[in-house]
Amino acid sequence: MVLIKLLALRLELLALRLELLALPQDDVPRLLLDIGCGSGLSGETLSDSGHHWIGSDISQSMLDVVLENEVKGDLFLGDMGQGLGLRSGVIDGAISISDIQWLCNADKSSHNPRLRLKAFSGSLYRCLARGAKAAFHMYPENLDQRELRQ
Amino acid sequence: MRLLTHNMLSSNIKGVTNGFPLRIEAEKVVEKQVDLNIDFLKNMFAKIEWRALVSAARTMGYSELPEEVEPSKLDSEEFLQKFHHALLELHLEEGALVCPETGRRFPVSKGIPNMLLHEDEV
Repeated sequence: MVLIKLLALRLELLALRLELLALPQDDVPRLLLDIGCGSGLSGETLSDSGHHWIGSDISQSMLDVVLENEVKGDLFLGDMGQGLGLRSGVIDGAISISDIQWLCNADKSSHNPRLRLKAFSGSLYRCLARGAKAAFHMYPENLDQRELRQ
Repeated sequence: MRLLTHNMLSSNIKGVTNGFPLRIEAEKVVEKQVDLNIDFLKNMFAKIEWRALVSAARTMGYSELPEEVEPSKLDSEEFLQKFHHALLELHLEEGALVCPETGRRFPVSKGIPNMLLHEDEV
């Protein structure tokens, strides 16, 4: 029961994000980016809205799930903290319903959260087309993480 | 992975100045039919690196795209069909994407490119 509520909540958050993207209401399919696309749930909604999307995730096993579901978006395995690796100005909107605070975690000693956040945000900014928006949420675990976000 | 995505991806390795386009090593290519949308094609056209698309399509076995194209071609249904086919209907299932500067191979398996960088590449 809780799982269903969580799912419903995630879909609501996704709908909110789509609205936040403020895409023109002209029925023109756009190219969107789903960062941390996980199981492809969010991507499915993007496809249902008529858009093409590229999804990235750091977890091969998550992407395997997406493959089973035969989603329409293209996926790539990637670590957002290494930079998104996308050309400038090509994305019409970016969403994430995964938790971006993972960027702030320094799981490996060689990770520097500040650099990772910078690599992610810099590359995100660059790949967005003029006027395109990114919508995601972030729950900071502690004061340090919140400062990092600013 | 469709050529739409390939046209967006760039090598992110530290020190690389121009990581685009990634060279394609095609081991398995699959064609999947998708409905054509003129608006999407016209919207994407301005963002596509045309030469990279032509070259990538050729590597995937499709040589019908013109080398040069002016925006007026977007009014041609014949051209749009070819553009659509190359961009959205050719899938690289198995193979690799290769960094044009370092030669580093990013393997593609089940249509998913592994773009994860090693620690010393970041």
